[in-house]
Amino acid sequence: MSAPVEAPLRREDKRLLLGKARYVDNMHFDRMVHGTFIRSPMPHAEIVSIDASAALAAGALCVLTARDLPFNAKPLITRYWHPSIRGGTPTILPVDRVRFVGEPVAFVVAADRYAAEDLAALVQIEYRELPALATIEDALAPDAPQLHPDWTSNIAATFDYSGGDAARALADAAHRVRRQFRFARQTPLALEPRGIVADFDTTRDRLTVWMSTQAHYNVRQNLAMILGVPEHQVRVVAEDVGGGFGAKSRVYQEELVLSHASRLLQRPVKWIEDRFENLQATTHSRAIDVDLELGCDGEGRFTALKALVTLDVGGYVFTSGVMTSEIAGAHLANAYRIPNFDIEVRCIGTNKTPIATYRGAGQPESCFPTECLIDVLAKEIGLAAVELRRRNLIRPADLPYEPGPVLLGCKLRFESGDFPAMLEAMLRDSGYVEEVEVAADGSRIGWGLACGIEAGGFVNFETAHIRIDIGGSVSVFSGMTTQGQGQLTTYAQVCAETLGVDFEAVNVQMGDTQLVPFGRGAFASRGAIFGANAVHGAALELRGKVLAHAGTLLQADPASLRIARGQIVRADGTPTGLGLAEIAQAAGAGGPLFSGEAVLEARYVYKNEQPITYGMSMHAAKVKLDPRTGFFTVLDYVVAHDAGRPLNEMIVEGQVIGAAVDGIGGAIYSEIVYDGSGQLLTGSLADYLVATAPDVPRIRLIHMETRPTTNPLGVRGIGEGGTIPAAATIANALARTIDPRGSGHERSLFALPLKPQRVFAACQAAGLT
Amino acid sequence: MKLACRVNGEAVDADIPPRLLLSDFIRHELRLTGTNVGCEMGVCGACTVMVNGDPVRSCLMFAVQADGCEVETVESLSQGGELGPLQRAFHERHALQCGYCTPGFLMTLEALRRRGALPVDENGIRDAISGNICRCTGYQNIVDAVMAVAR
Amino acid sequence: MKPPAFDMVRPQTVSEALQYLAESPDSKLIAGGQSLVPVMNFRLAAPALLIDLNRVAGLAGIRCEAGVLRIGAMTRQQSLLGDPLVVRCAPLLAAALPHVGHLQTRSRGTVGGSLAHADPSAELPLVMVTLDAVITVRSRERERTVPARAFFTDAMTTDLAADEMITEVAVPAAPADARVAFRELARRHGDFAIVAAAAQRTAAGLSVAVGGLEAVPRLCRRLMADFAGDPPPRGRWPELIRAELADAAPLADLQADGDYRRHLAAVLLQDVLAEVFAP
Repeated sequence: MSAPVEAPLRREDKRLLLGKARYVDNMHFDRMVHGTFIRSPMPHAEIVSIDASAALAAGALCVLTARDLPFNAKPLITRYWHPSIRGGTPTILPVDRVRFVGEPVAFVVAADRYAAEDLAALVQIEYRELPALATIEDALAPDAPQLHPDWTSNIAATFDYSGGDAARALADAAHRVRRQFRFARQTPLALEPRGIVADFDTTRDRLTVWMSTQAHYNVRQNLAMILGVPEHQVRVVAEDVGGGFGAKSRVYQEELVLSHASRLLQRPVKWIEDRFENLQATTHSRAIDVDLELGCDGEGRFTALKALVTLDVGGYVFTSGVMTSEIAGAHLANAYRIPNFDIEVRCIGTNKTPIATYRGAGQPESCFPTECLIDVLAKEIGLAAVELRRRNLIRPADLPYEPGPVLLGCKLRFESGDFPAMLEAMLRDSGYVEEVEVAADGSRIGWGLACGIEAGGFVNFETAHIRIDIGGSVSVFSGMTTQGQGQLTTYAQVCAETLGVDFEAVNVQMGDTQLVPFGRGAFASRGAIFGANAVHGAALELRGKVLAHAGTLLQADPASLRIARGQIVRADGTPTGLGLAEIAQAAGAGGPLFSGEAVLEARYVYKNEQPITYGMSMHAAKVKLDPRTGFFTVLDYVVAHDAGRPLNEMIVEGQVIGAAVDGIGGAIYSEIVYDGSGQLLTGSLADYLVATAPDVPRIRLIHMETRPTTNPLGVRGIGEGGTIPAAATIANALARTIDPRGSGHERSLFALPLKPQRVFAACQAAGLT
Repeated sequence: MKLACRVNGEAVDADIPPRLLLSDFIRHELRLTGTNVGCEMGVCGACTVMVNGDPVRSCLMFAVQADGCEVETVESLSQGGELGPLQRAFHERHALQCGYCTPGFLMTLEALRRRGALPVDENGIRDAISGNICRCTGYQNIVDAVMAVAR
Repeated sequence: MKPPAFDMVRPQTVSEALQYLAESPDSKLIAGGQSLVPVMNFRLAAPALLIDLNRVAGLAGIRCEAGVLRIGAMTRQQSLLGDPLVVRCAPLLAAALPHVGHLQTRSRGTVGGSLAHADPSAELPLVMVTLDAVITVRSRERERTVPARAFFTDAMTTDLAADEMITEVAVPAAPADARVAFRELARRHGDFAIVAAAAQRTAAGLSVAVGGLEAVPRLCRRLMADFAGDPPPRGRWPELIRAELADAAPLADLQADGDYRRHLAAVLLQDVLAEVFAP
């Protein structure tokens, strides 16, 4: 085996820098036409009639509504569905009722997007407005209209996690605190919106779809099963995707409509989501309220946690179900030992965009309340915030530790990592202190801290095929997708290192369902945990085959041979004159070593019965606050993280920094807002705000590395952990900066985002102004 | 309406509807797809190109307004497939992940570089790129790449 | 989001532009386009005719003569940034410009366009009101001048008639002893202000105004009267500021409600006064 490759720069960069990427809107095909979706302008209404005649008379190539789709009532295929979900899934297009502003109602096709929008304005849709449920309170009101037949009280799902006897433990607790927290509704906001080109060639009975997606196999399955096309006659390509962040982790209705339009029109049809559509109709996330109570004994050891987790799930339960609320509920105990817990989760329907995943997928939503409440408890019992954590963090001696909850069929299980050491490293290297500085001009400077766990992996398989050609070049085909996380580089590294070839000799492809028969794609921070381990497994298997063939050719024991830089060498390093090129020539269908395989390759599916690997991080932020206004800046931000084995440190750091900035920006700026009648108020990037460069400081990193035993490479997920503790970190910093000793002023800080007006309210509550 | 301009040094003549946005003209008529579109309202900066040396939002110009102008897009930054100085710095400092915002950053920075106005300090650089949104990198490595070029 | 269809004309002179404007009731002038094109892309405006001012000769540029800084309406905001003439003759404008949008929007955005658009939170209207600038307005029939302090009549609304355009804004040049202060509170760098305050103090007196608080920039006349002559003692400033803002009709939006906005305005007024009256 070759020595580990020093982290190379990225393969991906050249085409992205030169402007040669293949984002879906860059694809142009002969005779391609363009469509636009007509979306509901009402939060809740009956569709009385749709009259497309004027649009068609004016030249629309087609106008599709629910009644034009023979498959309209077929359910979307999802891998997992919580048993407590009470229906409430959408049809492909709505037949008689719309339930959120932005719901796709009709699709109009024309020569170009400009014309399509002109023609869409001619489609007459008559709605009969229904009372809208704009808030959870509206939805739970006794006389509230019911959004779906089985959603009694508009509860789409409800379930709980419990262990021990939380009620008793709380009653007996020496100290208890309880607060209410609200994590604002947000949207993943990839810079590239969604988009599709569908080309249904009925002469070949083949459907090819180019898409901005993270989950190409899920899309393929849905297209095939719902449209009635053999799965392997459907190809989904997502070669370059401008960010996903959980918004593109599964199928949407639009791809089915596009494919059908292409089938009818017998030409490629393109739809590119514009930003206005994206803010309305790409799934939202967060929107979780937590009423949290924590109890501890006289020594500050947590004894009980009780919570009501409420997800504002929107007008439908969409393809990822209620997963963020499941994940949030299961992880409320965070990285602490809490023996008694009672966590009730409710998912309430409202007339808003459906909820799905977004970086962290429920973990930011649970980390925020728990980490903020711990700081409150610390103040109330007179302990330093770090000391209270120190007394309760899961320690190496506790491992393996199963907190209790079962999530997506797996018991939560911590088997590695050293939280206490991470806390000490943070305290040593960050500059974090619990004293607050007050400057001559009245501005206040203080620190906050939070820790978080990052569950990565989830879907428990991924595929990799590796092939060696007769020139000795190595090609890796992965079932993954990439949205910029560097997999084309890191998978080449893993293959090179495991197989024993130069990095430069390995070429990686992914993002095309034609490459391997089945895979999953990039989400849930599984790129390394599953994708890279699949490559590793395939490389190991291929290495075995190569050495077996080499042994035959050299009449030597394969165990006495190894591969170094693509050459077969003996154990002591002496060359044998054989290289991968010769082995590949001999082993293929035409060669003397043919043993049933057309080419020299390994086809590997990596599976893991414990699919979740935990990463962990601690964040600390230093803020400077003007108590006269509530405006603040983040002066310094430190992330101590354990990503397990870093496949490429440069890429790992980029992921952590990017995630941290997303978390910081989200905590301070980002909120999807509806008015009291269910109308979306944040329909543009002038209203839905994200961090820009001057808004965030440099992120300082403290690296720690322990190896999980959950996967052969010893990697952890890295895409989401940076986001998870950010909101709590900043809220804790502000709470402390406003009042380092007292509590009770923080209530307005417990509703995100941390708008200056909310911070000002906390300053007033603390008597600072 | 007639349009005669130069794009990346080459003469372009077209007869197009006045409402065709410069971003769409570049991408779909000229098939220079390096320039990306993120919001069509001038906030995200992904569509930034240079017009007569100025960095502008191509989604907020009608293509016919570029008549008589020099338009430059990200494709003009490299010669024969070789990365220009800013591109090289982005590559070496891992200043891109998904790449969607990258052309907009590059054209904004190239405009400043040509004027000798690339800031060399952290705050100055962050201010200069305040009109470009990135959702992947957290901006830090972009700042480092600019520092490497500016110094 | 693609704009609806329209015709476009690209006049080369002001007269030609005004001719089009007079003859076409369903027309709009397009200057920098940074405010108009987004609105059209959202299909919230659908003029039948766009009159492109970018080819009109003689509308851009600045000159300082006879104690007046004259800024052509089509002058790009970016071209004013750092211009020594602006720094010398209108230091308050120089202080405000870095807050106006971003490099890319300033490359196209014009001074006249910002004034005509009259966003309550925009910096340039606030500066012009503070400095008592005079706006030259022309129609096919006539030319007139309007003081900035009378030009902004409501949110997004000015004194411009449908057939009129701004050609120039004249800013009284600041005397050498002028002290200026500009402060803005915004969520992010380059965003429209939540509130902003601008002040200029000369031997002749104080000019101070607040933007973003109400539908139009608010010239703080009570405060200006309070500070004519010897400035009142610092201890009285909060109550004077409160009195000034007492009859304000504050805006409210997702970022700040009315009371909080008024409070922020008071803080910024305190800060700009402190800066221009610092010893």
